[in-house]
Parts: sequence; C-alpha cells; structure tokens
Amino acid sequence: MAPSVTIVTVLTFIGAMNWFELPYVMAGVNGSPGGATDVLGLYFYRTAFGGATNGIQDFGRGSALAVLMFVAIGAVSALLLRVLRRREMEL
Amino acid sequence: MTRRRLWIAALLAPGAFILLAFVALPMAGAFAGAFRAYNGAAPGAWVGLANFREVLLEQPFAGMTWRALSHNIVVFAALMVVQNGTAYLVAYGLLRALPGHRVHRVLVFLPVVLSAVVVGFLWKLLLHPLFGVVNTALRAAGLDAWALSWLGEPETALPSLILANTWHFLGFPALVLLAGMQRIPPEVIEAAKLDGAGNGALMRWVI
Repeated sequence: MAPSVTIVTVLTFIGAMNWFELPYVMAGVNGSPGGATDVLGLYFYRTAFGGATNGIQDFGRGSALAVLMFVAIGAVSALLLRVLRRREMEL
Repeated sequence: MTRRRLWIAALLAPGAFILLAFVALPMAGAFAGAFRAYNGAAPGAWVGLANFREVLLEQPFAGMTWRALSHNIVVFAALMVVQNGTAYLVAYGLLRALPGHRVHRVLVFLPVVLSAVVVGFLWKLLLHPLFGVVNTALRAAGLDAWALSWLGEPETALPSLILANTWHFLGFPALVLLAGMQRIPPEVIEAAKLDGAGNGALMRWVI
C-alpha cells in the first residue's frame, strides 16, 4: 500500500502545482473573481502571453516564472519522493 | 544487426521529433528567455537575474506570485484530503467487491479519460448561478439561500474548482490505491479478520 500512497502523493503534488486547464476554462485567465482562483499556471501564462484585460505581455518574466516553477516542483517532488520512500522502508 | 538498429531508429524518430519540437525546444526557449528583457514578445537585452528578482521580490509581481503559490498549496492540501481520501474509500469499496463493483470500477475511472477542457465547461454549466443543475436542485429542495453563485464568490470559487477536479481525477488515485490493496496477500486480510479486525481497523492498520 505504501508505494501506492507515495506515487499518488507525488503525482497529486505535481498536478496541483501545474494546475492550469480547469481554472483557465472555469475561472478565466485572471483567476476571477478578484484573483481568488489565481494559481501559478494561470499567472505565468498571463504574464507571458497577455491576458484578456491586461494587455501587458512580458516573455521574460513569464519565462522566469516558468523556470522557477520547474525548478521548485522538481526539487520538492524529489524531496517528497525520498521522504516517502524512506517511510516505505520503515513500514 | 544494423538492419535491426535502423528499424529501431526509424520507429523512435517520430516520437523523438515530437518530444524535441514540443517539449525540449520550448523548455530551452523558456530557460533562455528567463534571462532576457522583452518588449512584449520581442526579445531585448540580456538582463541576468532581473526577471527572477522582479517576480520574487518586486511589487506588484511578487504579491501575485506568492498569492498564486499559496492557492497552489491550498489546492494540493485539499486534493490530498478530499480527492485522495475519497479515492481511498472508493478503492476499499472496490476491493471488498461490493455489489456492482465492476460497473463502478469503470464509472469511477471514466472521467479521467475526459479532457480537462470538457470537464471545465461541464462543471461551469452545472454550477451556473441561474440555470445550473446544482442551483436548480437546491432551489427545488427549498434551499434558496444555498443557491450561491458558486464561481462568482471569492470564498466558493476555489473550493468549487477543487471539487470539479476531484470529480474529474478521482479514478486515478482510486485505481492506484486499489492496485496497492490487491497486492496484499488475501491470507493476511483473512487473518486480520479472524483476529477481529473490522472495516475501520483493516483500513487503518492492514491495507
């Protein structure tokens, strides 16, 4: 059971951090209402490609956000995997 | 041998090309672009780490970054509890082979194969404040005060999205957890039952 919990936890983490399609379709690119559903995926997309209301587009900042997300998600996922694998050994 | 290698190369080429063109190249582009100033989409001078400093430390960008990150963390925690918790219960129900478990195994997994765009529009319609099924049902039940504009209020918008995601993705953790449960030898579960373990104890300690 423990290996299943490990893989589900890590995949849920990656999915939650890369959450994009559902908020984009249901709440729009600005994370309406009032940014209450703004997530990193929407924010970086909006920054890089411009939103419906904010025409300001900045590929540089968007790319920087994307790179930060990539590095952070990779690092935390690796850490999570290590910790949970150790937990598997103990169980 | 070379013939065989040629075959392998030919079969790998389309997949490798797609991966290269649509994953590797854009990623390399983003890595390069992150260190550049842009005027819209037009590349400008190299600016080193200025973009990173702006999105992490300078307002208003930094505020939005941290707010978005906090939402991501809330979503992760909520999905772990709501989505994966429900998936655990569903998986246990499927393991126990309750009546109709074959149909349920398919039904639970079915939404996972749907596109997120389809699920998004579907739930947007279901949650529509005036014509949505959810609010119509609530009004029919006399719960008019509960018929909120689910996606329009800051307090309910994120939870609504999390529930929609849970509905969409429930089948995946359920299937993985079910596979994990089925790996446990039946004798172990049988022995635990003989020792007087009920459903609760089985779920907490055995599987």
